[in-house]
Amino acid sequence: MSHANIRNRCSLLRTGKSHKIGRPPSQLGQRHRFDPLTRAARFPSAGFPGQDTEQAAVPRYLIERDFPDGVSIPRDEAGASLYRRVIDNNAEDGVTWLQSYVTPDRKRTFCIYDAPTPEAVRRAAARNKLPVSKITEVRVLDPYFYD
Amino acid sequence: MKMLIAVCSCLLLTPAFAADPPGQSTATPAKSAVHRYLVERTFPAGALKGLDAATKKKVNANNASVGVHWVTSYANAEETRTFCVYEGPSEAAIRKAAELNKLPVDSITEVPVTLSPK
Repeated sequence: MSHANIRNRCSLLRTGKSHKIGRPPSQLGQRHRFDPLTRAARFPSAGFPGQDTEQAAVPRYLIERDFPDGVSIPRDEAGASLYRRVIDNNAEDGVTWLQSYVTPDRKRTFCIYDAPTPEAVRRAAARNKLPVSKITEVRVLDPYFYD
Repeated sequence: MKMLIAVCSCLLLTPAFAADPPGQSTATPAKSAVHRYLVERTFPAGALKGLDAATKKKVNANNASVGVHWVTSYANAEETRTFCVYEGPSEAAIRKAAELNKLPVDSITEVPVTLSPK
């Protein structure tokens, strides 16, 4: 298991909280309710050799975002603070941002996330004031082989 | 409604980002001759079932013949749509590699910039 996988898993364990839309704040804080068995049925070959079952059960999403005026994060304390806020906001819903690929004009991003549900991704995006054009649940197709 | 909120939120957020002076971004485009692309493909149902080690090896060899490197791909649950990350000298090379591998191409988007919480 890679360090990234371990970190993501630890992050989920630390912050594994979720709530339904419209639920009063007093009822927030329960654990995720995604079902690994249901996901296994949808993604029978999810994961790759060496990846354990628990990790494979965390859904991964590709989120397409459009920024009409472009997106950029300053490389200073303000940018670092923004990153921390985004990570904290994501954590409220057990969402982990892994990486984003950005076009040269910075108007479009393809972002890879681990999250319990698409709704959790949308709630985290709303807290972060980030646009969401499309969410696709994905699994990784690795170009190489390990056995 | 959610969409409306997302769009409005975006409008609130973007000016802050857009105000950043050029060169102050964490995003750093590749300076070498290697460019990175995100290739979207649509497959008929079941077409990806035969993606075994031997096929991957052949695909990688075809890619290498035109200087293209398959980094990773993300497939939807039905395995009818993929988002593939490639490195290569040009968009034309990516198309050539797809031709050699008989792979469909819906769109090719250059994505030189990476944003990451790491």
